[in-house]
Amino acid sequence: MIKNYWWKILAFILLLYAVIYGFYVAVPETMIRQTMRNLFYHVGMWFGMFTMLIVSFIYSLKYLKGFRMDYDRVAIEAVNVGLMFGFLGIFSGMIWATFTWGTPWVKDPKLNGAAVGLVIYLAYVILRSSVEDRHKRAKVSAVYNIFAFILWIIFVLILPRLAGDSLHPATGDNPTPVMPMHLYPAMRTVFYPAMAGWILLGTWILTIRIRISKLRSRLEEQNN
Amino acid sequence: METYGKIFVVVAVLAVILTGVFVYLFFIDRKVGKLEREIREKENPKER
Repeated sequence: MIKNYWWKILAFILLLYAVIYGFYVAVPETMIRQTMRNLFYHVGMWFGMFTMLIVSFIYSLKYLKGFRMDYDRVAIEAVNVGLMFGFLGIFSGMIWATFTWGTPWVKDPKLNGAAVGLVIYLAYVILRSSVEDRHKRAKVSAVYNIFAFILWIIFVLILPRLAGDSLHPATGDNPTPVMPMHLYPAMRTVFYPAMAGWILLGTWILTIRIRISKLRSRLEEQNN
Repeated sequence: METYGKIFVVVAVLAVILTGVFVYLFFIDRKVGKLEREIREKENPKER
């Protein structure tokens, strides 16, 4: 049992540490004051989403190579978990923005890019539901998924950086030192374990979703 | 602690919620495991 559960326990320990020590670690005096602690939680949603999208992308490539339905299953379930993270990232960001910028949404390349990124993957889910034949669905959506991943990277990671003027940290020429590489050493001791914890939590949810999906198709086989 | 203005109460609440979510996830995980075993036994009754 401990063989299968060790990384799930690790996820719990990492996140518990992040939730407790994340409130005690000293944060520097900046304009955003104590809200900088949101970094351990809000950014974790995007690390979680990006990890899930990478998994989905890899499994779509694998599907197109071997046409195994198991690969298609991983691709869709990873997008589902990724979308959960994405919406939590957007909503948590809106709360943070309300207190930092005075409004939940500013016309900002990073925010708009993240919203477009969500739409791209919602389209993936809709595309899948519109194809009846499951092999055709797997093939069409795997091809779309490869484009979706590239577009997501362009909209969320590249374009906001090129845009120049952005309020959101880690974009253009925003000097706010909250990116991991500029992180204050003390905050790093919480930031990196927290990111690992969020990614592991997403992986756990992903494995459960995959297993449920497998059970469902087993049942369908029995009924046919 | 004084400078934090009883923030430890919030930390405790968050810790309890996080623990609750993980315990819940653990039970879902076990439930799926049980279903997997049931289906396996149904498909291969001789294995029992």
